[in-house]
Amino acid sequence: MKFKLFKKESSHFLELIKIIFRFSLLIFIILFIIDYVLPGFVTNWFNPIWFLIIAILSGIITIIND
Amino acid sequence: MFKKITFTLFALVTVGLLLWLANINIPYGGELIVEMKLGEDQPMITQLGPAVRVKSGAEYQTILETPVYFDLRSMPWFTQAQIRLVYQEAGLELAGLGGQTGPGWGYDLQKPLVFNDLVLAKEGWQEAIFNFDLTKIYQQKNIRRFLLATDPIGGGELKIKNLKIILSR
Repeated sequence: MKFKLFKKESSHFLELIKIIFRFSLLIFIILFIIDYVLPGFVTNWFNPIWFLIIAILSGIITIIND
Repeated sequence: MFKKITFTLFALVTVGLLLWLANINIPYGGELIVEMKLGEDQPMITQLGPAVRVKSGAEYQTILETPVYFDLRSMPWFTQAQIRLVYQEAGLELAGLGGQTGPGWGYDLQKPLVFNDLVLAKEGWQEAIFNFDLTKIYQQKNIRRFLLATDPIGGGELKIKNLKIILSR
């Protein structure tokens, strides 16, 4: 039996999780490149690693439920 | 429909985040003010160190011995920096503030231009202003080191209430 974290009724939630995964990963990559070229442009204000953490968590939820 | 709306919302958030970052890093007025949180390292400015020469207090920091240093991390388009230091001399006189001139121990010390603010003067504080051309200060990546010196180097105290840097293009 396949383990599912969310039931079928919550498909909107799963769609949302997939979008969060794509966007958080994309934002992290963009911010990483910007900060690599211009050190401090992003990291002087906040730590972009949070976007990677969100991407990993939402990615795990997506894999478990797909 | 749900997917489209959510996708649009996230796209707007992404664009908004990038615009916000551009706006704070490239300020419209051309000036960015960085204020040191005494006794605390910040991404843009470090605390005064080494720690053994500095005593932290609730409202001000006490320098027991100099030289003390701090690092500034700024964007390459900021070429000028005005450092405003609110201080009180208690045995140690503020001799100057300097930016590192090369990879070794070399600092171009500037004498303070003392500005007496009436409100500050009532409480016994003075304000010193230093103007730096950041292009002439040695940097590693985009980190520049500044040195604060007193006269004599020890045997008294120099209280620092506030350190503010106004970066401009």
